[in-house]
Amino acid sequence: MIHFDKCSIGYDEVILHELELFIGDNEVITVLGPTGIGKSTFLRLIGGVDRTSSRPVVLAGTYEKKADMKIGIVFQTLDQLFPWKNAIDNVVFPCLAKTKNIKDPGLIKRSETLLSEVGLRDHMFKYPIHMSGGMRQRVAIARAMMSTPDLLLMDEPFSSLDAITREKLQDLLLTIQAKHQMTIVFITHDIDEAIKLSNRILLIDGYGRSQVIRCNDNDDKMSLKENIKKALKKVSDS
Amino acid sequence: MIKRTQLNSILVLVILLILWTGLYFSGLYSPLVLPSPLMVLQKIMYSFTNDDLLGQVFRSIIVIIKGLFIACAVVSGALFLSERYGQVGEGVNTLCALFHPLPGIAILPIFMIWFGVGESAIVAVIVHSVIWPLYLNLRSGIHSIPKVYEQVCRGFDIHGLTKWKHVYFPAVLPHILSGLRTGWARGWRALISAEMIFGAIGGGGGLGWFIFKNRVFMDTAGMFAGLIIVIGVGLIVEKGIFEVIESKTLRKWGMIE
Repeated sequence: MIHFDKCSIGYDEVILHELELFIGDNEVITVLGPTGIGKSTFLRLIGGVDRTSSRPVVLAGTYEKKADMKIGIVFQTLDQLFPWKNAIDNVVFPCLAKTKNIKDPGLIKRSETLLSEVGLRDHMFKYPIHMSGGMRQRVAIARAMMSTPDLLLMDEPFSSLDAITREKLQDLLLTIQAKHQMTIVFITHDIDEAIKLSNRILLIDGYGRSQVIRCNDNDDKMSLKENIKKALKKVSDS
Repeated sequence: MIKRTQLNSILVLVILLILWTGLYFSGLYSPLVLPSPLMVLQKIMYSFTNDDLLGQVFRSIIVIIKGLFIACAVVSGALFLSERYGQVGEGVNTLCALFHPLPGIAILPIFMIWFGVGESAIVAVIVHSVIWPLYLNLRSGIHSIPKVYEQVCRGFDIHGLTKWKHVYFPAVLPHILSGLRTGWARGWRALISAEMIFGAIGGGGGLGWFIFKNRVFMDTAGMFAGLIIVIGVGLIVEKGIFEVIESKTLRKWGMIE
């Protein structure tokens, strides 16, 4: 689906060096590393959400992705929903790219189904101001799902939430992924979250160097966590 | 149910009325200088029925609406060009710095020469009073739209007019209302002043002229009546239009406290 071949990414200067990664169909991959080292740059390159002038570019190597791939995005900030739209209207928003009639019963029905899937059946007409952080992120996930994406990009979507809500949303995300069978690229700085959500973790250090760690379901989580910590340190020290 | 703030406002009004009545009955001032609240109320009733006060209010409101419409059109055009061409934006910012502090009434003599003594000059003064604060508010509103909204739009491939209608316009609405509110207040003041000056030079109509006419006939109750109507119209616009729009939109959405 997406292939980075010795790909260096950045703006004027390289931020991520010689990235070597293939992301396959229906795979969940997490990107792990300290804050401010280019995890979001990686996501922005794939998502293309910036103005041309501030968009990261490939400075060396090659980067390929499947043509006509539909992408959904969930951001970190709890303010990513539009406060003037209720939950349903926020979820229907991506459909504006294709139709002006977002009151179409089919679309409303689909948005209601998605909101039910994320556990907000009873909150469809609430405005974001009346929702908790967790509820807002659930709506953001439903909105990203509205365009039936092949690839869901998630930029530290649960980092502003408390531990219990975060765990619930991680479980929810895994359920949604299993049901809808899509690829997810999930950025986080939480090792536990990375281990829980994916079988492969892309580690990025403070110098933009990366390595991929595999984690199997039957691995001991504690030792895996220690290995990742060591790997992060090793990447940083090398 | 009456809110605490509304109760406080009513209380202030009652205290003001008691003070005014007390001062009138103290005999310190002649009724020619300070009429009683009752005399002013009677004058208002009389003027509405016999002196075409309603017509004067209507004329003033029509003039300010014309001014506001023209100002909104000018500001929309200026904003479009400013956002599209950086140099135009810098130019308009310079004009704002030059003309925003200039009181509308100070520029009226020039407008009277350019547009003649009449409604056009008053409308021009209103336009001048409204465009600068409106432009500055809207520009600052556009520049303070959260970056994530733009990223959401790009991520979901929403562009052009759709983006403006569904995202930018509602996001800037607090600034639009704030700009219109400031613009309205400045325009309303400029209008009343201009009508009074036109009254002084023999032409006119509107509320300012109504106050001036009563000054000529030393009808103090009439002057107070004019002032109360000016305040009343201001209150109706503020409470009946701006605050209603705010409560149905921005407050409901949690965009303002």
